[in-house]
Amino acid sequence: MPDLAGPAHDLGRLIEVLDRHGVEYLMVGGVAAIGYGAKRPTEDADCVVRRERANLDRLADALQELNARLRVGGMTDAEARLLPVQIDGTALDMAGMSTWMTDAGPFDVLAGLEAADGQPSGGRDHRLSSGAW
Amino acid sequence: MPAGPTGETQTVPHVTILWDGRRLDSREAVMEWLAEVDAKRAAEAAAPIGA
Repeated sequence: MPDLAGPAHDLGRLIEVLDRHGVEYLMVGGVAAIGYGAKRPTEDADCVVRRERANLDRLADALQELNARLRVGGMTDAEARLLPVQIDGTALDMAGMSTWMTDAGPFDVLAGLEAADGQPSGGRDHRLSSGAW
Repeated sequence: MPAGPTGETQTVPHVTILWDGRRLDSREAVMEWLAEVDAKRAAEAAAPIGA
């Protein structure tokens, strides 16, 4: 069984980098629950980002600063570092949900969630804001 | 959480999932996707500005 583990969570650093790059995002899942006071373990940080090209470009810059590499099933973090992944807005736009290992720990990105009416959430009035909660 | 054959707890591997449902769960799948990303970058670079 390969060692798939990477760096431990550093949620403060993750949020600081996302904010500094001006990424519009919402933290969701277990991390968001903890932000609301829940006592529960979580393995990674999940966020939803606005699927708009400039925002994805800013996210790409943030991921590069965090030395992000894809998390790929069956591959170790060391092996994944060797993949020739160029992180930019194009790549992020082509992945509906992307899973990364960063120097601030595991980080999952969901882009452009669709609402029940089929409209992309990023184009609706309930804006995604910078900041976690 | 299911237990593995030796009793250890198994975690569900998180993998990147593309819009068409494909999962990047192997090196081969990643390389195929990267080729598609490169093709899109090339198309974007060749497109007229504002198109």
